[in-house]
Amino acid sequence: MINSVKNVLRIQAAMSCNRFLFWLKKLPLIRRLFPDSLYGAVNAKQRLMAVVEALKVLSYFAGKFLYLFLCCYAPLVLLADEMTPAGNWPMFVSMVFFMSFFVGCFLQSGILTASLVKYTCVRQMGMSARACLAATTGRDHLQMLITFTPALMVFSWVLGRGPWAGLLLSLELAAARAIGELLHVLLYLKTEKLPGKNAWFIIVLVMGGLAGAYIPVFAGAALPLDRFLLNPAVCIALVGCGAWAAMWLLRFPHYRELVWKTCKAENVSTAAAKQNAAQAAFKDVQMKDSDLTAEDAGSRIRSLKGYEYLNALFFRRHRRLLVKPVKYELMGVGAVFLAGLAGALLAPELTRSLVEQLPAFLPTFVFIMYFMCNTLGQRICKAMFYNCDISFLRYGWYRERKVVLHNFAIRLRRVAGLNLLVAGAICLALAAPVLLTGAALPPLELAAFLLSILCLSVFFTVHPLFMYYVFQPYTSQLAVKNPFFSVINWVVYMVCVLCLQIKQPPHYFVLIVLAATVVYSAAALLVVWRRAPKTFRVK
Amino acid sequence: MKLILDQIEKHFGEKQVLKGASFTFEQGHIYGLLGRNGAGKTTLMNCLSGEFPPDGGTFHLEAEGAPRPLGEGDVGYVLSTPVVPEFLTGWEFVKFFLEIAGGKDASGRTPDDWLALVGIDGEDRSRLMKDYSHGMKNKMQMLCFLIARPPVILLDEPLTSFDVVAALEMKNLLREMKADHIIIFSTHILQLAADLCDEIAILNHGLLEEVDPAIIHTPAFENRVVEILKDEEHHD
Repeated sequence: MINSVKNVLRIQAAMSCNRFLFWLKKLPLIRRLFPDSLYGAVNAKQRLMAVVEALKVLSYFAGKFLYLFLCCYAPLVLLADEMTPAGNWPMFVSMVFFMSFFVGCFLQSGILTASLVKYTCVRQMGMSARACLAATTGRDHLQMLITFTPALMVFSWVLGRGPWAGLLLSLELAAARAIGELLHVLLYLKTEKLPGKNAWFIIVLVMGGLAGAYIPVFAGAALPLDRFLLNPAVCIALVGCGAWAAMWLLRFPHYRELVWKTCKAENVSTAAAKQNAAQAAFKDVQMKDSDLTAEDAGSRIRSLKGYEYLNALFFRRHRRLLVKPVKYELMGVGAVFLAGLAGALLAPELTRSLVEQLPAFLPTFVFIMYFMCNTLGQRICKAMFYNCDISFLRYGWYRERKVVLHNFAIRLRRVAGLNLLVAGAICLALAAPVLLTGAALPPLELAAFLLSILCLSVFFTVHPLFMYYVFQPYTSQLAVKNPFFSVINWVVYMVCVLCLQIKQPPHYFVLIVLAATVVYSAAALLVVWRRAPKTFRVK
Repeated sequence: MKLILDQIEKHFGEKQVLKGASFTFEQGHIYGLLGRNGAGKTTLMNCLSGEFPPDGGTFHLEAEGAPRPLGEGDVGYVLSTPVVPEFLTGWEFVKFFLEIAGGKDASGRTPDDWLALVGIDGEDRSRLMKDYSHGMKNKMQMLCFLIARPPVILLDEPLTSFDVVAALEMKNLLREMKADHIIIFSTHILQLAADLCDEIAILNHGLLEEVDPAIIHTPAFENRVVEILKDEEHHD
């Protein structure tokens, strides 16, 4: 048993060490210091393993201090009225109780959680499941006791209760975690259920825990959990039950079956699981059988030729993904239009004063157009990759310059068509009440406002397609492999969100929007024309 | 027409897969590309097909003594795991491909004729390719080069997924086509290589070397190939 535990620990250390090396090799300046041969260098790796393990232990100690400081002590300092040790100790204990005892114990079971180490050692190498669990879950709990103890002792001392109260709390926490493990195992044996896999259970548990922890701080009064937990009888009972639970778990004979049932390839971080996760990221653009009624191409589509034909079929078979959201958007705009009409007829004064403020809402419309048009564009690009380009890009002729640009132009036209339809409807819905109520809005100002909405829709059509063609970020395994893609998308999103914060836009804001959209779109098209034939590849 | 590879190098991280592979492939021959697992056969094909550029060396076509670069449209590549656009039916794919191949196909065949040629019949033609078997997808990929007739045809483990009848049909098609093309296909099956190929190129330790064509159809062939592939010190 001891030898098996040692072996599992060694495998675990080697895995951490390899992971550490892998990440070191990603760092731009120092990656040259770590050649691939290091993975196989036994002596050097032993030393590196020791360093990695030491770093891990240090980080656990630091982590506990940081957790108690940020989650329990800092809120006390910030939220409690007066920082008196006597009043804050009960609140501190109450927070530790709800978050670490309550949520920590019931959130997940170490024994029943799938992990790569368990999968490798027990399922692939046929090692003893008990030894593996002792080396993983057992070690985690022991580590938790050892690393929580100094942190809790320091904070109980800072809060005026001396270090021993912290030690007792730490022992009780370890006992509670052991009882939590036992309850999870018993529940699984009876029902084969893992509460930690149920999103609702997690939400309720975490919300309950956070409420229990922080409401007393806001209310200024905590439950007397400190007196309860530090009562000698409770201490003895809890630690005694914990010790009994730990003994029960140590003697439990059926770990092998448990690991085989709970630890499957798809749950652990293997290549297959990564592939599944990557597939899941494309779930929103996966086609359903109902989208793929092959016979419905229709004579109009069949009369088209070449890439027009291909794209017509693509958009036809993706209408659920692409046209449906546009329909809903148009319905929403239609409702606004009707509301505007009703307002103009029933409450013309109010409507007039409202629509006269229209230009002040342009920053909000920047976000609305982002939300409508960019979202649609991004979804279309994702669908294009997953359902079409990932396979076509393996054909040399599909990567030829004229083909890439021709296809881009067709797609841009089609997506712009959908987005301009929505933008046009928005313009109509906004202009109607202005004209009907005779609002005092200079025609030039109204025209510039409506034009910026149309320009925004073009901008948010060009942007996702430009990003897709120039930074094509997806690999054949469906991972995103281009940091620029994420960063630029994030910047555009942040600019749009920041626009929401502009309450009183200056009168030249409309000019900024017009200039920015026109210049960006033109520049993006130029970059696509020059770069896309080289960059539009499967990574 | 010749396809000339000159000192092709490719590495992934620190692993040097191709270490200056040079070879001249000639029109009218079917070349078998042999090599052990991980020798770099697919890497070489990916370089030639433009999937990614080599790190060193060059390759070009030479027609009537005049060299020219190998363009994206010059290569037909059939991958070992076939990828076809799954939202199209077989018939739609062929119609589309015939249109974009613009004039390269002088046979006057319709999409139905082409599908019949590779044995995709009846209802299968109007089924979406996502429901096609591995072998059927492979046939669709092969149709691309049958229609477009690119000068260079690369086939990565092409016939292993075919049933015996389809495999024989494909072999006959390749033999019929070879006069106008440079055909290179990688395989692990020596029997197939000996049966179909006029020349054998072995990729070993990142370099290409030719097996004497005279022994391909003799009993000595298998021993010679294994001898080269087992010889660890051969190029080091």
